[in-house]
Amino acid sequence: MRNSLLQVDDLHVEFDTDDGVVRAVDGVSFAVAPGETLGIVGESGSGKSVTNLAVLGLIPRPPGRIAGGRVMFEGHDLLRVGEDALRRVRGNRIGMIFQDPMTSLNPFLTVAEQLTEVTRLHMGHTRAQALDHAVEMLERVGIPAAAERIGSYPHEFSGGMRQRVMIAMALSCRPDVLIADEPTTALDVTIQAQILELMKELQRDEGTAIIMITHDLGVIANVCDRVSVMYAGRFVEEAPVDELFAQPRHPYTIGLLRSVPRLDEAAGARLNPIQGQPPDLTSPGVGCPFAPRCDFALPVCREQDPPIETSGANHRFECFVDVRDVSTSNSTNPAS
Amino acid sequence: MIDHSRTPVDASDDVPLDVRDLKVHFPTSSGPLCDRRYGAVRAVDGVSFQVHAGETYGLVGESGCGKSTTARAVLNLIRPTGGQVWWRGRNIAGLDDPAMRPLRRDLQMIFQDPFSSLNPRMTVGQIVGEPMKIFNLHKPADRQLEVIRLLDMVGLNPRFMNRYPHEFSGGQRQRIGVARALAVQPQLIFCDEPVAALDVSIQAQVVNLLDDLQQRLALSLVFIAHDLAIVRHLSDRIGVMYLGRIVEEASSVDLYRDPKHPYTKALLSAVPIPDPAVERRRRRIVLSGEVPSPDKLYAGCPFADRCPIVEPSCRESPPRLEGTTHRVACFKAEGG
Repeated sequence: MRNSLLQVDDLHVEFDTDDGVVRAVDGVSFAVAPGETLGIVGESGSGKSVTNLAVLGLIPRPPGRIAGGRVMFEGHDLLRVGEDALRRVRGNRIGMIFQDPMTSLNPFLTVAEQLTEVTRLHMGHTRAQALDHAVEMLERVGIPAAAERIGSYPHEFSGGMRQRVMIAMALSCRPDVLIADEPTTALDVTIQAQILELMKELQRDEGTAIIMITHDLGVIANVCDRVSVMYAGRFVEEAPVDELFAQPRHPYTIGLLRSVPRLDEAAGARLNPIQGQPPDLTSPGVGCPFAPRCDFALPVCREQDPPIETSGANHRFECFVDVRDVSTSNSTNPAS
Repeated sequence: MIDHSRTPVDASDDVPLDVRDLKVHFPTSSGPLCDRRYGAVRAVDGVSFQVHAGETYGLVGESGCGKSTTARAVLNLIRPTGGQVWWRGRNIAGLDDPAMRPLRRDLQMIFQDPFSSLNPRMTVGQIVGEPMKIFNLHKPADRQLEVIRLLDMVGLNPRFMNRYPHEFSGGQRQRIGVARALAVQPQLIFCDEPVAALDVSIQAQVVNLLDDLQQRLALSLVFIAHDLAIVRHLSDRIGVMYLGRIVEEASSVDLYRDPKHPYTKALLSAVPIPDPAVERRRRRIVLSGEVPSPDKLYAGCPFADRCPIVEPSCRESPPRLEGTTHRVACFKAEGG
């Protein structure tokens, strides 16, 4: 594996709620290298967004709490460096894009004010330099007539254009790492295709490492090099993208892949949903969190935590069962 | 103007719903108060389609294309501006609420948001039982049995009938919405993005439920969604909407195997396939620009500004939806 740029070790995040302590992130480790795209896939409440908010020091405290782990970036542990040092990293060396471009932009400030603020703060630009740079960034993300439109307010842009503004802002300081949390979920598919192309192009030019958080397996297949599958606050499987889709080893990953209809396969076959509901994280039982919904579960799965298994150098998963021994009739079978 | 006479046109039981040239225009105003110019957002602008008995008809398109407005106008939840809606040989377009009320037994709807579409102060039993009361179905003493039967049919434990909606997950709430729609034994159900708010693993559960019920009860469904893979999975025939019009209509098999309209082609190619090997081989048609505002008037084809194969003549007159089984509104494509 290449030298990692950002490395997260055994991260634990907890939230105090009326119903008890929620272990939203329960021992997560990962790393990204320059120019690489790591996908984190999971459903609502699996902890994928919280993981990345923790990396950026954005967990609201209280009720949240970092209960353990390290986030290493350029030799420093971001969980321990203090707010000032974190501010120098956040938005500068580590950029971020959130799902909803309307609520992540300030509706009272023009796009120019919001875009120039970042570079004036982090890169010491003068007002004029910052404005030039901002126009240049807007042009790069494909906003037509950028010089005229930069004085507009966010509501004067469409959803796709706002997300382009967010990307321009996140990339203004040429960050080493870009964290994108469901960046295309609120967009239509034709606009999603434009934004994903743009992100790939910018990555090729700048060598940015991208952490792509999404629930959409299609987006993962389209942009990621490696994928981590998250369930109930844990990374249950991690593998290079081709291997994950061709030889998934965790029953949850298999379940996810089988439950989505594919445009390139014959229609009409029944979908294979994962039965039941995601677990309640306030009262985690013993054993594997997926066991109650798992088609392959053994008695031991409900009694002990699953072991970490590996398959080759870069594929790891947490499961007692070797799913290859159990017949998997519906393996992924790429039709043309 | 809207004509309510009972003309027995196409009153055959094979085609219970026949929508002709449906229009919904919302008036707008612009300019300073003393110099107002009035225009209209043409949300639905001449939509025609038929739904056969026992068929699932899919309506797809991106946000703002008018698919939800079409459903609401057919059901007179929004009054159509023009056109006809023939339901079992009677034009019901624009009927007022008292006249619509008996028809609501035949025509039901399932909504996207399983949170705001259920009354939080009613128990599940009351929610599912109320439509029976309104239409005076079953003897009052039998209604509880019927509620139990319906909950069981949609896969909810009837023991939960005294619980309130907030005690259920999104997928379970959507099942409650389905049970409520079925309570009056309707002939046709409009499903407006019924799985868009649900997690991937739960979507498949609800899709399978709708599939089963449709077959078991010989219902007609109009399934409205932006997710093309899911629409294809459920639908017998599909209409693709763009800017308030149906631009292509075909059987689900033909539409995906041989899309003819350039917009349909772009839309299909924009959907990422959950398989990295397939994704690398695919050629994606990335459309430039965004969906234009529906308050503009177009002399020619409304897709012309984004169309990769546009010719000058496309901007002169609007293309009509032509063909018999495979209909397409494009000068450069042949219907079938």
